[in-house]
Amino acid sequence: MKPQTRALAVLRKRFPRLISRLMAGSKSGQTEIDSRSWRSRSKHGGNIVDRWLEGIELKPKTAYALTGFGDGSQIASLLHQLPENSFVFCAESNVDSFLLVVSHDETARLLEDERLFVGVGELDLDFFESLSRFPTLELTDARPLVFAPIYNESPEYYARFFTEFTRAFDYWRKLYGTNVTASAKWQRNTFKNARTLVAAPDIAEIKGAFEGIPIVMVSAGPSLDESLEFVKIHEARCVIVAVNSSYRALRNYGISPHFVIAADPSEYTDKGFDGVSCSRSVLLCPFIVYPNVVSRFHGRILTWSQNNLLASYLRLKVGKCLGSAIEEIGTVSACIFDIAKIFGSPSIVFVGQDLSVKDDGQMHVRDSFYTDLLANHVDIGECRTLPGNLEATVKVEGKLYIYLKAFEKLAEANANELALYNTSHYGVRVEGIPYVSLDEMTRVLDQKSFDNVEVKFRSVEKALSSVGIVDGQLVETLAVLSEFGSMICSLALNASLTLNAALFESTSNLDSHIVLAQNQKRDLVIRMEEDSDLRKVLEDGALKYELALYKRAIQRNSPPSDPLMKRAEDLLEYFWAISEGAFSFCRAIETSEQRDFVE
Amino acid sequence: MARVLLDGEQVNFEGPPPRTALGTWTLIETFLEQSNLIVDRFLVDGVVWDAESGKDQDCYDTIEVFSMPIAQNLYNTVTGLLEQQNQILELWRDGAQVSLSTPWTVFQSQAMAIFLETQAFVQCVSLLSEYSKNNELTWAKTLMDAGEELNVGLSTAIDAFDSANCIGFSDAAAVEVISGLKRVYQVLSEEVIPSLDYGGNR
Repeated sequence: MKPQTRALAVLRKRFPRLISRLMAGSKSGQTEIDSRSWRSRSKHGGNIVDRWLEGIELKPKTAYALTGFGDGSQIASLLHQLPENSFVFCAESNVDSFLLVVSHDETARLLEDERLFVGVGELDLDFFESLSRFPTLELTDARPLVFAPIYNESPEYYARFFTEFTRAFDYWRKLYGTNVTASAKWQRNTFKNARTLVAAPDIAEIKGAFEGIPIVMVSAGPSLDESLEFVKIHEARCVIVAVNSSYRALRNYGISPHFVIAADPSEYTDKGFDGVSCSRSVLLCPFIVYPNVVSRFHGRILTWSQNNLLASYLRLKVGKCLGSAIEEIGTVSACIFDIAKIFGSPSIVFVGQDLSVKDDGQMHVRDSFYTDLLANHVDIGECRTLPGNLEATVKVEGKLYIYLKAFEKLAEANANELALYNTSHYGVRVEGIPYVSLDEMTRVLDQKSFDNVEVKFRSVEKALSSVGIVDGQLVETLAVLSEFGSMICSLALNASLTLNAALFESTSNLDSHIVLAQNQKRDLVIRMEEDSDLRKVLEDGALKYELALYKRAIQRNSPPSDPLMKRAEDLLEYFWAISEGAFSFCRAIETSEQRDFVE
Repeated sequence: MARVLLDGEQVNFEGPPPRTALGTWTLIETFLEQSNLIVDRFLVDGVVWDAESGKDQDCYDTIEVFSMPIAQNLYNTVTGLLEQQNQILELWRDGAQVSLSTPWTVFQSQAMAIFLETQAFVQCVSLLSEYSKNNELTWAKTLMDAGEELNVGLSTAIDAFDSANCIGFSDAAAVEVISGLKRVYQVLSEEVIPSLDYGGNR
């Protein structure tokens, strides 16, 4: 294989997870594979690609799952004809042939096209990783696109690719959608929690505190109804970690979890703690958690923040180091993988992690706020059917399916570091987390000896006593953020009002108004770029959602037949998006200051 | 007493008329051939009867036979083939494209349907070719050459189909078969039809 080429450099930048796969190189030992093998079977050369394209109808705003990279010629032609706002995810089964093609510079030009995404080889999580950067919210449809000359060489692989692509696309679309639509709330909560959580110790400060001791991770699936006794039996010898929705059931059964994880920013998160004591338990949470939860555990909190741009910024500004990174995908209990590694625990025993519903549609443990809110049952007719742990098949509701994929991803990633057990007898089978009955799990735990959990827990309490005070520095930092947000809001609002007034009065000098607006946009961008850290923080909140709306709005604006008016409308939408986002940002700071510093 | 009518006129047989419908058909057909005529319609007691149906009738009251000049029959046949021209060509154009955008296991049945649709056309052309050769018609050689070109293209397509070669099939369909079809249609419309307008032999 040739050393670093331009195409490999592009791959490293755009698809980093594929590089290790490609660098492993040829597994077959063959190095002379003809990457143009399908072309050599044609007597009429390039006509094959033209003929293929003539027979397919390409639509806008569509994600196309394409079979086979080959020599890339059919992809180049496809991209040339691809309608606006459509994208291509191309699967190539043969790592060797892809490596040969990648050694050519024209492949680099192809790979630089941001409408093209690539997966090579095994259809695992790394294969589909680039879908996390797919503009899923802009797309209205996903379709398979067969290039038969390559498809027919590996029909089973490509048929499976279509199935897995649909699942992965659905998964990332839902996750990305949440990331954009909830961005304002996440940042608002971060501001409200800032005073408490910036001062609180990072979870890394108790690294290795539970070396060798297994974690019992208690979630709120229906299996928990019949597993509470198991948790009680092992309370003294394992680290008991609950989630907000299982906390009440445990407390009412006389179990005091050592830790409880809460991460959801919505008010329902707080309902998990209504009516029960929160004493002794330590809250593990990110900065976006619903602020009332933080209030309940004041002084008994360990946090993490590396995934949160604003939280990281605040920590660094008050003189703390960057916080820990805990992978948060979909459901709160998925955090336990990274938490276990920080704690030094060698194993996780999942209890109540059903990720499925019972035959009667029950989705959670009976003693939970879901039951109080009459939200503990779903229509099983709308669920997928998948293999179960004990049952041949179980019903998995849409949202739970996303969590299932997240768990499988994490189980695979942590397979070498953590022993994983699943005791959820009503649950769906989770690849990488084998089912073990409660009795068998007790036998497994009985065969091992662990250090005293209570002694270990006291070291945690010692770390909690080291909470510092950061009010002064925090106030200054918030003032800087507020001033920046106000300046940007003011510039954007001024530009939008000027342009709007000009359009309202007359369109006769439209081109000169557009020139002015473009200059104002340029100045706005320059001011935002003056401090890239502040810009990133601003763009990570409500502005993220406003800019997503802006992208949709400009597609609906005046048709290209009236280009001048379209430019004016697009500029107006841009200024409104910036001013709305910046205004929300300033309001969130103002509200948090009133809440925290009035005390 | 049984009677036989030919184009409305009673046929006088040397001896009694044949006892069966098939026997009558055979006799009449041989007679008509001598005048470059064929049987157009054959009714037994008012009901249309087909010699190739395999069902004979051994008693009847009246057999009515209507004849047609061979040239007219040929004309009708060729006109019918030409009317299907766009449909047949579209089938192969579509096949050339779809074979490249569909998994082979799915496309196979469509390919079979294309071959079956084309089979009747090919058989007709073959019979026409044979007839023209036997009767030394002016267009015999050009039709035979065009038919041969088409057969070569179809053989290539069949070979590709047998080896599940979507590229080979697409190439054969788009180039050789369509070219062969167009050549045959051209001969039919530019040489065969005009000659049949003037009575058959030129």
